[in-house]
Amino acid sequence: MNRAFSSLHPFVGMAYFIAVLTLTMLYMHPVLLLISLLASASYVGILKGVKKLLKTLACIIPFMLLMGVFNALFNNAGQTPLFYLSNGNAVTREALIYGVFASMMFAGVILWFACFNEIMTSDKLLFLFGKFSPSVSLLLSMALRLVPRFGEKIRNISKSRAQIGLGTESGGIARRFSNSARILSVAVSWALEGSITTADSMKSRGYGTARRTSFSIYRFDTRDAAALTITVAAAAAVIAAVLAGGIYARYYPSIIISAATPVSVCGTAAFALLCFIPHFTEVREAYIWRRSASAI
Amino acid sequence: MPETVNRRRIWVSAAAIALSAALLAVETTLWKNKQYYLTSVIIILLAFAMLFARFERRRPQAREIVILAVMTALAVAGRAAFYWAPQFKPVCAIVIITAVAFNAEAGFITGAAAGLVSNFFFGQGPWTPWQMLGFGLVGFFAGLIFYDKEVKKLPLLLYGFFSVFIVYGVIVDTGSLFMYSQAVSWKALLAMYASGLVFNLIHAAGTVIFLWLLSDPLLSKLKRIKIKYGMLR
Repeated sequence: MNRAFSSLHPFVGMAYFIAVLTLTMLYMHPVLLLISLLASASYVGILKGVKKLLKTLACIIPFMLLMGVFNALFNNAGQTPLFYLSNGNAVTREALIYGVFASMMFAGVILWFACFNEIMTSDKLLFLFGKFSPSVSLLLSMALRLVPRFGEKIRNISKSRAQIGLGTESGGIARRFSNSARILSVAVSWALEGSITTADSMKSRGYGTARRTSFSIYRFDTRDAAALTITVAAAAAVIAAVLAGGIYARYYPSIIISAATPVSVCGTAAFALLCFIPHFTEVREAYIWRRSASAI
Repeated sequence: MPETVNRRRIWVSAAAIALSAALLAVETTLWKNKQYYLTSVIIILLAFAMLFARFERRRPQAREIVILAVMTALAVAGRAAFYWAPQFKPVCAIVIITAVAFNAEAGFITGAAAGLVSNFFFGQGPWTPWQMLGFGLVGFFAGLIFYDKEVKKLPLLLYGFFSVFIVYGVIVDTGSLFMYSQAVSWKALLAMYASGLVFNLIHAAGTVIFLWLLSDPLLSKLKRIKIKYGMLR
């Protein structure tokens, strides 16, 4: 779907997701984790609807519980034992609390990736990749195109082989398996010959003689510059607050979490600003659209 | 000069990744802020950048790129075709065959590309770099061991089983542990491998079956293409 945030330049989107994912993983501060989780969950809701959000959450929650258990069992650091396991290891309060925040971090990362998959589509990633490694990017985009073509060809071959009784539906398991492998092998012959034709055609059109240009509809405009500046500034402010000692969380051996000071409040506010940039972008776009629609 | 521009870009990116790895390593040791996941992912990205830079510097021919794209697409289409059967995927078998027919580098690039491209269909996540590294290394070692040699079937099947079970399994499970927890210890690592054991066994057995069925026809087809068009020598 066309979203305001996805209409930004791919470079801005990539920088944004790198910043927000790294900062979410880097500092295990409860307030930052909560902000990140809220922002990512609500943005998944905006992008894919509340139903999809609930579905995603239902998938994540078992993993979160598993992580909590895993941390409690394998992490004996911490000074307040709650109870002892049969093998003599202590389950500590610190490990349990850490497990809760670690699973919150995990949920946040998964939800941010759900947004990433909606915003950073394959064309954008290939565009970015092409800047850095044009041959590998070409390989990736050709492979991406070939996958559905392969699927189509395989369906065709298996239909015609089914007509002579060698399809994937007939015979026992072993028979079906070797029939499937045969179909794949036929498709490979076709694809390899085709690939040589493609390559020769590329060569005769001058591939490799000059720098390859690539199709790009992305333009870096003032809106992109503004979004990038805000992203970098907010991330820098969070890191500065951490370096100044304002944001701090330690779980072992005892739990120390920094209290609210002017520095930590500023850092947290900067992180909240960073996390909610996509929401602001969507709301601003909707507002502009409503205003221009009502002006007609 | 187009070449120099590309090379400079690659070196700048590599330097940037190395710098962030160094920063994270300093942070991990100085402040006891245990960033296993981020540190390891940055090191993985650095390895990718260096291998891709090597590939790029060689200025690969059109035929080479197209053949590797075909093998990548085949691996991805195969993974999609068997999506209903968890862990039963032909990706490793096809990557191994590519490496045997061409070389270690081709195997690594096909594997890494298959990991990335297949996740365009199944969803990118924190697991993507680990899967790319796992598939890539399975191909890389296959190329080191079998490329340019008379290949017998049994060693190939054995390699398929153990490379998937040990190389791919250990890499991906270690990645999961780093994602799950900062409480990294040998015991936690062993528990993670134990919980992934069944999945890795299915994956390894599936790879053996696919190699058994596909290695002869695919290797002879790739050989034929190589001889007919005189490529990748």
